Formats: sequence, structure tokens, C-alpha cells
Amino acid sequence: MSTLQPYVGKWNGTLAAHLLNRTGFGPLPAEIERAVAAGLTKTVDGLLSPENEGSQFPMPVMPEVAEFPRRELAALSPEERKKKMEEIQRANREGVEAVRAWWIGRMWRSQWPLREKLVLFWHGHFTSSVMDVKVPRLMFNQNAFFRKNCLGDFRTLLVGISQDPAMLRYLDNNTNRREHPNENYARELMELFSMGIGNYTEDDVKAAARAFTGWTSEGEDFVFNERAHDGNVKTFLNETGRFDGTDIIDIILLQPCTARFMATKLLNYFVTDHPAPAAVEAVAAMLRSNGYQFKPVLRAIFTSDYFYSTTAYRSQIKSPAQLVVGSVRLLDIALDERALGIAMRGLGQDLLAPPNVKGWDGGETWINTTTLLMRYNYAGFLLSGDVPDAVPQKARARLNRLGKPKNKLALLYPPEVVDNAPKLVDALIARLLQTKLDAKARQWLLEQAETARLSERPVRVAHLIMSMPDYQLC
Amino acid sequence: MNDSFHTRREFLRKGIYFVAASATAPFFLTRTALALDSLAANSPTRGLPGVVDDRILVVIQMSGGNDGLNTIVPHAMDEYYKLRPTLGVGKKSLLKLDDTVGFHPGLAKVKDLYDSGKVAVIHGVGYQNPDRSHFRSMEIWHTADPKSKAVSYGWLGRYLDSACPGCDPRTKKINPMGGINIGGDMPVAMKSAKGVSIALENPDSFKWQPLIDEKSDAKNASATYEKLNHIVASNLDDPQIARLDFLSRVAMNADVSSDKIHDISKRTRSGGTYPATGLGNQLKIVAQMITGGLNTRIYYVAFSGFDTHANEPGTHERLLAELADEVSAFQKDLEARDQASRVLTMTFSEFGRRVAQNASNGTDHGTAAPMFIFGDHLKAGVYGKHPSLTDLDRGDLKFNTDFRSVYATVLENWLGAKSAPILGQQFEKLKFV
Repeated sequence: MSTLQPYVGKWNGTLAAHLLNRTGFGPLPAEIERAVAAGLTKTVDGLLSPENEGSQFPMPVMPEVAEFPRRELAALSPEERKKKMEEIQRANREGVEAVRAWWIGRMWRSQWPLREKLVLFWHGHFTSSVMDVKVPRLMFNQNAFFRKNCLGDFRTLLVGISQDPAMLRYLDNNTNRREHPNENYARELMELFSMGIGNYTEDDVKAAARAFTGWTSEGEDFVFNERAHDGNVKTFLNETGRFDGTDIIDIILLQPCTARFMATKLLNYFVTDHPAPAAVEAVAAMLRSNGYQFKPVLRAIFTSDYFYSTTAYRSQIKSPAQLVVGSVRLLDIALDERALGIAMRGLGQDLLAPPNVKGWDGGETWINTTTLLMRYNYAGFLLSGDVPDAVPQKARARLNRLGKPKNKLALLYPPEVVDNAPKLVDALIARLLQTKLDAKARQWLLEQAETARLSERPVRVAHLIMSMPDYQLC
Repeated sequence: MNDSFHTRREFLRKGIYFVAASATAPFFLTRTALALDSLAANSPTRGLPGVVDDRILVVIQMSGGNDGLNTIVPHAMDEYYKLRPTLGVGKKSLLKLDDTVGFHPGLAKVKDLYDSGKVAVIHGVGYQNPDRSHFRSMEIWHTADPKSKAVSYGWLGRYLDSACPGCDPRTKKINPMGGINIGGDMPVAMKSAKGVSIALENPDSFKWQPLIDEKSDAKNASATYEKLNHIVASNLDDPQIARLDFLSRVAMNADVSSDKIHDISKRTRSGGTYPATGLGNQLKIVAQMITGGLNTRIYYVAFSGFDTHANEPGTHERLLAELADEVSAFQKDLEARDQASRVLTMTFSEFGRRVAQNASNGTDHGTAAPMFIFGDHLKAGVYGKHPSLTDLDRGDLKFNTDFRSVYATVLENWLGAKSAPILGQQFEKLKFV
């Protein structure tokens, strides 16, 4: 397995920037310098040893789980009931916005951004959407569950997510009863969460659905409803027994396709959209030999030759989260996190509300004529505060209410740098692109810098750089 | 490299035909420019009696798996009510077409269209060995290829490729091509080998917005922006360069097409009376673009929510009513603009749902389902045979009409294309157009 040999070459700023981009969101020059000084091993060890930062990120304000309090509502007059319903809906809407903002704040300011990147990985993998779950607190709890277990083992994640109230609601397992099994969760568990399509039969789906009957929730807690559970014998993937959901998960974990499926997903997310079959096999073998513990496997990936090869280097298209959080970090912008959530939604990644149970496809699917123009125009918004024309009326009003972004380019680039157009252009290329730029492109940027008013220079040049294909890569 | 074609403006100044014939112009660019900027290019292909030959297909995707049995209700089949004790649509409320089937009451406006001869219903559409995964089944409908998972282009994309021999700059014959998706996500169905179709949410805002100050004008900044986004790739084996090339192609496509679309949206007002829903907004834009003469034959819109595993009745009724009300508004809008005779609208969903209801007062993923075709110029009626409710395949309907028969009909009898090269084989055609 030559593809996952440890990397033994030189360690420099280019590679450190690559590592920090893939394990975080827009590394700053000082962070890159620190990683160069610390060396590869120590940097990776640091990334993989996150500490509790709870006190730094106080819990968002969310309404209690209270469903529609049916009895209470029934006692009200129609007008009062309507008013009450609207109140509940507004509280939920504001609640989910607060949870989203809280998470974005962690991506932005965490000392261990890899943890947030993994939470995003698991959110895209074990998808649930607040559109169906409705209750912000349940989405928050699921997010916290991912954060706690993101570097742990896959079995804990699978069992935990199968008992997670948001997931139980999202894939209807709450109503999976033995009289009429609901197959939704069982199917997605195999197809999207563990094995991949083509590795099981329709009968396996039906058997697994029966095994998960009675797995339900009340408020914020998992509840096993024995009366709704089908305790009879099932045959699942050629094994027979009185299986419940945990047994199904254990059988799934024995399948070689599961390790390959997860290896592919990890490589897609962290290394390349098109991993070599040998790399998939190598990571799958590591997952199995490490009891599906993610931490040692991620360490091997981040210190491998493959990770620093041209296959990986700047071959990824930034996700909207990567682009938006990275941009506010690199431009040192002050802005309400809720505005960043709106921007991500406009670019095709509405956190806590993925488009469907498959999550976001990523890669080239982030980009089409509309989303690319939106990326460029949202860069303009971050720099100038002008909301792009394409933003729908409601979101526009919300963005305007949330206040204008303020960048600190004037502090980063004092007058003597701004005065010197080549110096300014090179500094902005180094900060924003972290790679060399084609000489002709640099010349065009220089020409624009020279035509701009001095006070506008940094902003103008930054916007042009951010309106380039190059800025979309990491 | 020929520097003189760096920007769209220079490129338009020098002349489309000249540039298209130039070997240095990137292929995608010539295609897009030819498609969008050459109204004269919309030359007839093969005539269809009584129809101006600039026909358009609008595809409406109903995402999530629409419950076909509760859309076109087989009210004469006892099994239906037996298997759906609480979900079955009552005989009194449904809108009967005949002694066997009726529309769900949410489809009142579709019934009106049906009565005026503007709807074809095709029963039991599906394919062999149905897949119950949303994604796989959607992919099958998009690629029109149930067997292979390796098809990367969609059936509409392949049509766009094949319909466009004139896209080869060496020939003088130029046909319309390119497709427009109204919405931010490009569907697999429209992905093509040669063309770059366009996804847009809102025509007015489909442009790059420079930051300007009083010292420098927007034109100047835009020219630089165009240059920065026009990358001439040298080595596509390097993944970084391949990605930059991809991004550059999308950027230039957006750039070339945005002026044209912007122009149409300024010249041609949107109109009609559409209820305020997502689908309505999309169809309103489609009608505006059609009227404005955007030179494309394929429009695509999607709306979702059909995955009704639980508490189906209210949700399903609302979705069907949205479809019916908006399609009806669209049809009226097109008629008022004198465009209706050249537009055919087709709906599909990735699958229907299980015949028996589940314990959550909903339905799980199923198989065959009906399709709707709307238009002023079709042979209205009911096509195909309704699937049996007694002869089931493990609780699911057996399909009667291959979905590719519907595609073949649309491709050949509406768009005037040969369907076999696009669909891989010749499928039997239906008679709705």
C-alpha cells in the first residue's frame, strides 16, 4: 500500500497552509508560520487533541422542546391559537438561527478547527434537517453529539445517531412500529450511513426496519418502546436471530464494504474527490485494524505522502462554509454570525438544513453559473456591505438588519504598503490565495490597483482576487 | 494563445461567426455564444404540421417520490381502499375522469385543463428492477440508463449534444442548444458532453457586481474580472489545473449568458397570475424567458416535499394543489403571450409509493407512477394501462410503460430529434404528441 506511506519530504509554508486549509477554515499567516515552526507531527498531534472550549462558546438561546402544546392550544380561541402558533414558530426560527450562528462562531474562532470540520463532516454524513425536525434544541443536541464523538469510534456514532431524537424524527423511526414497519431509517442507515448502495437486498431493508421498530423518542430523550418492537426472528445479511437495532449495526460493521464506504467518504472530504482504489483499500484496512477508531486513521491520512501529493494539493473546491468562514478570517471581518449563515445558504449550503438525506454532494456540484456569481458577489458584500442583487428580499432585509461587515484591511495594510501597489498586490495574493499566481494575472491586478483610489485599493484588489477561480480552491 | 479574444466584449465586437470559426476560441465559449447570441440561428429543423418549429420542453421534477396512487386514484379497485383504509381518497371527493380513475381533489385546476384538452396522463410509468433509493432512482430517470451507474451525462444533455451538429464551428449550420435550469442546482439530466447549460435563480441578478469608486468605472473592473476568469488550461492531468479550467468555463458561461438573459428580463416583463410559491416563481421566469426569445429549447424546474412517509394527506394535497395551480397559471400566461402552442410541459418523480399505507399514515418508497404532459398542442387523454393492485411485486406496483418510451415520444415527436442515439435503443412511442 504505497499510497499511505508517511510523508518524509520537506515541511514548509505551502504544505502547512494545505494542511491547515483542509483541517480548518482559512488559516492566517501567523497560524501557518506556527505550523511550520512546530513541524508536521506536532501540528497534526495538536489538531487531533482538542480540549473543551465550552466556556468560550456559551449555549445559544433556544426554546424548550415543547411540541405544539396540543391541549393548551385546544383551549384557546381561534385567534389566540393562531397567535400562539406563530409565537412558537417564530421562537423555533430564531432558535435555529441562533444554533447555526453558534456553530459558525466555533468554526471561526475555535482553537481546534478540525473538530468543527469533523462536525461538519458528520452533519453531512448523518444528515438531519431542521426543516423536518423542527425543534432547534434537538439539532443542537445532535451537533453536540457529533462534537463529542467526532474523533471516536464508528460504532458509538452509529448507535448514538440511531437513538438521536433529531434523527428519529428526521427519518421517521419515531413511527416505526411492528404492525407496519417504516423502512426509511433502515434503508438510509445502509445506503448512506454505512455500507453504500448495492451491498444489501430489499429483504435486508425490511429486516433491518423490523429490528429498529420501537426505537423512538420523547422530548430530548431516546425511548425504547417495547410494545412497538418486533422481537421476532429476522434474517439480515445472511445472519438470523432476534435482532434489534444494535445487532443490525454490529452486523453492518462486520461487512468489508462498510470500511471501504467510510474510507471513501473520509478521503473525499479531506484529500481528493477521486481517491485511488489503493488509497481507499489502505484507509479501509486501517479502519478495520483500529476498531473503526477515527483518530489514528486521520493521523495517518494527515501525515501521509498521499495527502501532500499533487492529487490532493489545491484540488478541492471550497464548500460554502469553508469559503465564507475562511473569508471572514482572512479579511479579519467583524460581522454577526447569523449573516454568515445567510451567505452560506445563498451559496448552496444551509447549515442544519441539508437539501436531502444524502447531504451535500460537494466537489464540482458546488459550482454552477449561479453559485459562482454568488460567490463573487458575496465576497463583494463582505468587503463593502452591499448586499448582492441576487439575494431574495427577505434575506436582504435580514442582512441589512444584522449590520454591515467591517473589515480591518486598513489596519493590516498601512498607508506605506497601500501606496506601493506591487507590495499590496503581492501581500493580498499571499494572504488570500496562499500560492503563486500566474504572472499575467498578477499584472492585471496591479493595473486595477493603480487605477483605484488609495483608500479603496485593498478592497478593490481583494474583491478581484476573491472573484477568481483560484480563490475557490483549497 | 490569441490574446485578442480575452473578453466577451472584444469577442462580440469581432463577430460571433468569425470567432466561432477561430481555432483559438474555446469550444464551450463558441457553443454558448452561438446559442445565446444568435437569434437568427434558430432555424427550423423538421416541420411538424401546424406548429412553429421552435418548440420548447419544460420539465417539472417532483422530488421525493410522488404518491401516484393518490394522484390518479383507481377508485374502482377495491384493493385500493382495502390497502389504504385511512389514506385512500374518498370516491365522493375525487374528480373522476371515468369509471376507473379520478384526480385527487387538489388537482382541480389540472382537471380543468384536462377538460379543455390540454393534459395527457400516462399510467404506470417505471422501469425494470425498480430501485427504491431516492438518489439512485432519480439518477436513473436523469440519465435514462437503469443499468449503468457510470453514465455522467443526462438524457437532456445528450439531446442537447446530439441536436447540435451546428455547434461544430466548421459547419455553417447552427441549431439552438443549451438548457436553462431555474434554480441553483444543475440537474444531472442537463449535464452534457459539449454544452454548458445554465442554472440561474433570478435573471435580474445574474451578473458580476464590481465594487466601484468614483475614480474607476465598472467597465474597467469588469474587463479585468473577465480576464482573470478566462484561464487557458495547459495540463488537465494536474487536478488543480483541471479544477481551475472547470471554474473558468463556468465563469465565462455565466458571463456570456448573463448579458443576454439580463437583456431579455429588461425587455420582456414577467406577468401572469401565479400563486406565490416556489414553483410559481420558477414557471413565471420560464414564461418570461420563452417570450423574450431566449434561444434554448429545454427548461427545467424542480420542487420537493413528496417523500410522504408520515402524515401524508395534508402535505400531499398541498403539493398537488401547488402543481395544479401553478401549471394552470403557467398555461394561461403562455396563452396570453401567444407562446402556448410551442411549449410542452412534462412532470415526473423518481418513483411512486408502496400500495399499502404504513403505520405513520404515510407511504414508503414504491415503484411505478403516472406522469402528466401539459400543452395546447397534444392529444389529450389517458395513455397506458393502470397497474394492477392485485398482481403486485412484493407489495409494489408493476410498471406498464417504460419511462424511456415517454422520453422517446418527446424527443422525436416534439423536439424532432432521433431518440435511439440518445436513449441507447429505440423505445416504442406513445401517441400523446
